[in-house]
Amino acid sequence: MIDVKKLDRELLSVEKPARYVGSELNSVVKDKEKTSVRFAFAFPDVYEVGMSHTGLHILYHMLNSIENVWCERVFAPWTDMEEVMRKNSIPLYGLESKDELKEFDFIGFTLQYEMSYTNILNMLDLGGIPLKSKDRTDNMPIVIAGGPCAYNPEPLHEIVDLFTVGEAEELLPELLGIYEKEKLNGFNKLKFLEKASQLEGIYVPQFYEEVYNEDNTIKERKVLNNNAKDIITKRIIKDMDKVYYPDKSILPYIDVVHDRVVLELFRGCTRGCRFCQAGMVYRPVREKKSDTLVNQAESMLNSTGHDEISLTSLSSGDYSCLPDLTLKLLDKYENDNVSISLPSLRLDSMTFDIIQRLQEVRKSGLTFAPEAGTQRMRDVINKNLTEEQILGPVETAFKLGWSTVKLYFMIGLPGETMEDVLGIKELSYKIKDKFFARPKEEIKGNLKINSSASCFVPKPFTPFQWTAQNSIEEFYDKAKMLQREIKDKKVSFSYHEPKLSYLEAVFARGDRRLSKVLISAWEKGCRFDGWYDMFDFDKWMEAFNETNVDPDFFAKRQREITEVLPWDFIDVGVSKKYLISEYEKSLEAMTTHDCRLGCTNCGVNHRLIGGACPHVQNNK
Amino acid sequence: MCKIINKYSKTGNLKYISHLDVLRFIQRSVNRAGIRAKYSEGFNPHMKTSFGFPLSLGIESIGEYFEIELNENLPPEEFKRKMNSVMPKEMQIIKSSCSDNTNSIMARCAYAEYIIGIESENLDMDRLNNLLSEMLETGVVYIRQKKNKKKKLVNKEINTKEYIRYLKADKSGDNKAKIEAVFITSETGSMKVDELLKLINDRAFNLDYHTIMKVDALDKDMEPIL
Ligand code: SF4
Repeated sequence: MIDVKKLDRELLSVEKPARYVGSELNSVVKDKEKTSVRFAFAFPDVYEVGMSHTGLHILYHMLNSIENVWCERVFAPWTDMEEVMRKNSIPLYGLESKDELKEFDFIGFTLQYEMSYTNILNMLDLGGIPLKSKDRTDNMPIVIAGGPCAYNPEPLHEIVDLFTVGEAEELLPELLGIYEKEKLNGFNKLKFLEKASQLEGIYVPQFYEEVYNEDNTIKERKVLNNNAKDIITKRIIKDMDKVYYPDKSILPYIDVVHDRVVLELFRGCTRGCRFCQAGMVYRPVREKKSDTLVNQAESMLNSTGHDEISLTSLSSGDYSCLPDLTLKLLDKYENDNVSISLPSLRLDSMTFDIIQRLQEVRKSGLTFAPEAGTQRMRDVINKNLTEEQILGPVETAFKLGWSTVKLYFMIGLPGETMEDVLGIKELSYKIKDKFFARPKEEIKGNLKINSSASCFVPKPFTPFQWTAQNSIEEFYDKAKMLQREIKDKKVSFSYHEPKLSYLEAVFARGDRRLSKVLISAWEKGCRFDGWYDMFDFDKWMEAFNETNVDPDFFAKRQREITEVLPWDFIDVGVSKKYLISEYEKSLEAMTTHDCRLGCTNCGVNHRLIGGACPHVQNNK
Repeated sequence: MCKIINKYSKTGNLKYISHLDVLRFIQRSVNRAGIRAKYSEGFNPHMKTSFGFPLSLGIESIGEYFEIELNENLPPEEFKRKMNSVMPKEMQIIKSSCSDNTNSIMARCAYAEYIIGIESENLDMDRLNNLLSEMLETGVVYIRQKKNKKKKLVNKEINTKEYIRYLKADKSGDNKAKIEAVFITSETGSMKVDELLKLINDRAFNLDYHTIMKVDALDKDMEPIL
């Protein structure tokens, strides 16, 4: 155990000390003598962000439901705490036991966004654990990683011992089972990794080698170990009603980002937006039954005392039993001051009377994600949303009394012209006009339209994985133009920092050569890069320079369809052929319909589930 | 249905949780316990509860108070039992009772009683006792810096004599002592334990470690609120 008294002496000097002490309600403390595998679930961001993540709660309780496994949590200490820890030689520790990271069998990082990578290095270093896999001996923890960014694991290949690809609820217990056996037989890391790599969905980077062409593209990938697979296939959970789900969740004492019961209605998405990685890699759609969800809501409310339920999924409005579920929840909880919110609401797919009833409990603004300002552009990205489908519901919402609207857009989408960019203004203004186009006596409230634009980042496993990202200058030009053009007091415009999006693009589609850049940037002091006030672009540029890696090569380069991509060895179910055809269709602004209306042959059915996708069957 | 007043503890790691977070945590505990609380009317209904003076971060307590109005007839003993079954061991209700006092808890608090444990390698009991009696009898004046309404730092002179009712130290082990203190509290201000510790640091000797436990909140007759 770390010196707790030493910690206690210093904690009041840091911001939000409750981040670092644990003992929340429903956290799990076990007798370490009676457990054989100790797992540190590591979230490379601050406590409040990590504790808002549903996956953490699920995996934490799932691992702890295994008798001989003890899973604890560890988050990235904020800079003030890091300073305290370094100055007083307090190593990074698990929140539950206060044992230092070194004492764990596994450190499991979840990779939610590229800009948290330097925090991983920092956390290992604060735990006194060597950064590189090859420098860690048999008696040091195994560093594993999973989550959405593990679909392109290569930038972390030197650091992480093994990656889990896809949904881990079933995979993790299998992996820990193998580990336990190996531990009993006198542990040997290499032997363990060899055994693990035979599991579906496990990737051990050291068993492979990347060979490059002269132009820096990848020539081939060599498999170095006989036990390793050529292709790593992602894991999926087939039956969402049967998969492990905790009957309680940890209740943080301090305010976290999402401080409520979060119900995951389904996984996957059928819409096929061409920019969306989640929409591709989480296919196919697998829904939970509404009764399952009502039960899960009940146990979560009972175990936490929360007064808000939020229904989340990639596109919650598409849940086939949504009216049924919301009405059930409303009937059950309306009188208990429990409110229900639907964050990723699509107005085109939800009946207004339900929305109205939801709002009786707590009224919030309306959110809309047209993503692009013109119809042509929305067709390029396959948003499948017409202007009428935006304006119609907005009009209804105004009639019902709403007056705040948030609009999300992207700039820098493939094939975008200045006219498309200006479309963001046009659409925002059209929405404004709808508000005032009513008889005076019907106009209530003070209209506020907040339009924001993020900079498009091409992601692996999307039809846009081959496309070039805009340059930082192009992004600024577009954003600044909109800022100049949008002069109406009712409409405000904001945009995301292009430099951050550029770096995100580098790491999203990066290869093995980025590991050394990462280490160099961390050595220069980069951490919490996703936090805009911490982000130091110049340090990153120095790191690229020193390691002789050209970031433009990854962000700004248009790839040939035939190029070997760093993530090609991972199979997410959706076939490359499908991605190519979607990419080609995008060039002609041709749309592909939502696959609930009929399979569009993305390939996931016969590659992963062996049969037609359930949501298509349901529609027959 | 009576208003219920409760004395509760806040110990261990919960000492790092702010007043606002405690408030929310207790309200959620009421939900978990399945107790029907009364809510305010209006656009954003909130549970009808009221609390005593906020406890500074870093202080443990076995004498915190809150009042709550219920929408069901629940004897205070039952309330306490139900709450304690869903609250962590670091925060438990010690006592519950019907409350017909119309004054707020804050208005009823006149004193706060503390036990402060200190550790120092050069602990000198004589120096400590001298300083403590000076603070209590003749008074020690120190400067407190505060931000005024315009967010400018202003200095305020504080005389310990005006805020301390009782102060006594006992040796409790090698290099360790225990200080018992009763501070006068009022809505216009009081002395902070931190300030007492700082005076000891500045005027007597350096402290290596300390713990602070608030024992109770007392009314104007020096009786516990509950
Ligand atoms: S296989 Fe067909 S139905 Fe299933 S996700 Fe792909 S396109 Fe949709």
